[in-house]
Amino acid sequence: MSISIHQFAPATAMGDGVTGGLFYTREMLRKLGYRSEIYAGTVPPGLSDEIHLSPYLDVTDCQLLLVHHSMGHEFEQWLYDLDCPKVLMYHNITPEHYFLEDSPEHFFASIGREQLRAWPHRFVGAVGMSPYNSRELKQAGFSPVATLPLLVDPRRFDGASVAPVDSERRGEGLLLLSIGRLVENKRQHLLVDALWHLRQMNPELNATLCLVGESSSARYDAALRAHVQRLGLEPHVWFTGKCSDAQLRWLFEQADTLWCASEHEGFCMPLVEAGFYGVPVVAFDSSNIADTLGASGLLLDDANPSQMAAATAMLNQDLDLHQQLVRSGTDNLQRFLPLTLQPQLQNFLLSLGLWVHEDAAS
Amino acid sequence: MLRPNNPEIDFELLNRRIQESLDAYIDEGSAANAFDPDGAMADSEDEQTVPVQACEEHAPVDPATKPPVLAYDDCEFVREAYKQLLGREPDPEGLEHYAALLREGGEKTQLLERLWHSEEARLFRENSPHQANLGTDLNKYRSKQKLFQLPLVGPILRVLNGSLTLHKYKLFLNARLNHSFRLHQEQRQELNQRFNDLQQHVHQQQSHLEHLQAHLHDTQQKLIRLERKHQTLLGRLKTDQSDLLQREKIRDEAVQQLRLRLTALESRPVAASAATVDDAGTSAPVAATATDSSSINEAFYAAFEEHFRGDRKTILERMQYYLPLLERCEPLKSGGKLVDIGCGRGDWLDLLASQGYPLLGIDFNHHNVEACVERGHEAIATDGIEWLRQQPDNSIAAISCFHVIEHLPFEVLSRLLDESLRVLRPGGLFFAETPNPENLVTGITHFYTDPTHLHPLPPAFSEFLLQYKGFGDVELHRLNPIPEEFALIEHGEVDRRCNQYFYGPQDYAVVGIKP
Repeated sequence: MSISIHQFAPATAMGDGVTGGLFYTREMLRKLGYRSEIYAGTVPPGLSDEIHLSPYLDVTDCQLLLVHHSMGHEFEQWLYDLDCPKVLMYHNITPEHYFLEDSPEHFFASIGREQLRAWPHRFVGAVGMSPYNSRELKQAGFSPVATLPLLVDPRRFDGASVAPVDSERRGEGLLLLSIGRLVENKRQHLLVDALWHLRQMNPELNATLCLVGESSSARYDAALRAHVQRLGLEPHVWFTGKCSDAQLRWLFEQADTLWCASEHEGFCMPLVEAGFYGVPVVAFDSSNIADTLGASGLLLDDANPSQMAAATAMLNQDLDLHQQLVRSGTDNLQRFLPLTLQPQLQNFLLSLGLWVHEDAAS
Repeated sequence: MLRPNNPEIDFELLNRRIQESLDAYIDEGSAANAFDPDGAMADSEDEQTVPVQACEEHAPVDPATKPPVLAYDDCEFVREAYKQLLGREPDPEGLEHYAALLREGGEKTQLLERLWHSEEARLFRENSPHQANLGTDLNKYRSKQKLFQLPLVGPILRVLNGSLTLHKYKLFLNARLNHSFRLHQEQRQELNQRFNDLQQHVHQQQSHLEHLQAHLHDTQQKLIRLERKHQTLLGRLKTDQSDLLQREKIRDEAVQQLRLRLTALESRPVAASAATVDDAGTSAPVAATATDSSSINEAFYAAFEEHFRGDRKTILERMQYYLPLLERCEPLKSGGKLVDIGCGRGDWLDLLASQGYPLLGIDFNHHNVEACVERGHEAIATDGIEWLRQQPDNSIAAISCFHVIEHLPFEVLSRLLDESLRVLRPGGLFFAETPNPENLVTGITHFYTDPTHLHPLPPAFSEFLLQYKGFGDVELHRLNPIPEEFALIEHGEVDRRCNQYFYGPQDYAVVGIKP
């Protein structure tokens, strides 16, 4: 009888990065010969065939439970009561000071870190989705800790691309793409400033900034739009809202450069995805950005919009530099693909004493 | 600047190029438009108040570089005179009084004289002699005044002094006039600039307002459309509900009648019921169906089908979906026969005629069979299951049943599948199309349009039944959804689900292969 390694996440959602990681990990575990299912506290209607509700988890058929942690939650006692070994899969938690006080996000972000500090002795090991996450896990006292970015599912790249509804806003000039929720810590206002400088420095590039992502801070959203208006950039800043995978494929295919100004990222998947589509990256250095980006983009020490504009103009006028970064993006992608990660995951599981016979794996 | 992260790139060179480009770039205005995290639009009116008061406060002046008192003008002169002669700031009334005198053409020296001779100035001079400094200007003035008051010589000196200083005064007045003109021009330019800024701001606000109004208008239109759709759906639901209630009533009555008939049958002599037992000695469920169906007049049912069947072109188009399935059926390709049970008026046979397959249509209804024969098809009027029972094993290539199985009680359906599996050749195809109750309108309304329908068959049940009976490669094909133009425009989960339940596929086919 083969070994069961199941996964638990407090909440799942369609198109969510953590949920995508759950599926990716499940496929990898199954390929390694383990039996593997996903359990969650909440399951959206469209995923009820794929994800089971947590009360259905049979602890007698679970040799290891991978517990995904990206926000505080109320399943703590339920997890304590489960009599099976557990590994924490840490996606990082946005620090609470980025959320409004008294908001639910502020509360759950706060208890999420408290839980992280309280849990090391209850887990047999931990996996950080990035070196930045692993450092935090080690500081909290988890051991052993492996860094396994089980997030970039290559199946996301398959399928047709579909233009967003207002695709005429793409314009004829340079398309600068930014992907992420509109929220304070993503600092999209710096990108708007950078666009302003770029349009001043190189008006012939006729640059348009495409901000993909829904708002999770009404205050920031309003301030950002007002900022765009004050700078007279309304025709050149395209707010698409949340996009489907097919629409994201279209935007990546159209984009000339991916911009990232985020102040806090546990991983930042678009930096890797850009490598698949041959889109070079210009980003401000922070949190895990340097680790995820590797050698595949231009990384600025300071969050200086005029420098970002100058670097972007140079990148789009220097063909050799552009090609070099596109090649580096493709190389960078390899680090996150199953061929690379599957042996690493297997080694980690072996280090925990879990292995399958070769015939089961086949 | 750029952090080196790629050994194949010369970052020193890149940083130099970026710096050169930044050096050549003149940033005009980004600082003035800094991001404001707390608000939508800044209140620019607050920032644009123009200092228009004539007698505003000034910053203290360094005594070392302080000009003589007569070098000041207007309010500044009054303030300076007060400070030097009285050792204090002027009170508002004093400031206003002396500033008014100056503006009416009064001389500064006269004003200084008045203050000098006041009681307060005298006390100030006594108490703080080192502070009471009038400067050389006033001393000169006073000396001159003394000379001018001398008898006889005084008036002559006054005229001489006037003649000598006339040119100097003229230059002074010219300079002051030019200075005033320049100040006036500068202020006018500044005011014009501010006025233009204000106009631009008003224009921006107007555009913003227009944009908001357009957005509001769009939203209102959307709401109106939604409200209309809501009303339409509500109307449909009400109609469906009353239909359903009506049908329930009819069904109750039918059940009541059936009960009465059952009671009557049960009370018949045994010999009469024995007559329905067939030669093999088993009670034929088909006979039971025939009995039920026979309560419907054949002519009526043919007319009923004609009325509700829909347009022939559409039916043929829909049936074309099955042709690829037949092309994969090896026994059919090798010359085996396709039997269409419940062939109706032969639409399916018409479509297949050009494909060259040997065909046979079977139908209970004589009117339908006659129509098929007239169209040149081989068709017989009999009970399909009975016909199958008489066929040898492994003798038929394919069996099709369009809208038949929903007429059959479970026992009869079960026997149809058993017999089909027996007579089909290995690899032979069985498929049955039936209304799809996953579309709720089909399941609760359209299904009951036909009085001989028994109950809807959920797809999962049909799939299971074929698998259970031993068919292989069992598949479900959901077909004929309501055209998209009638569906709701999907804005969210509610629309998506409404479309799924009310506008989804109206039929499905269950398909199985004999292993």
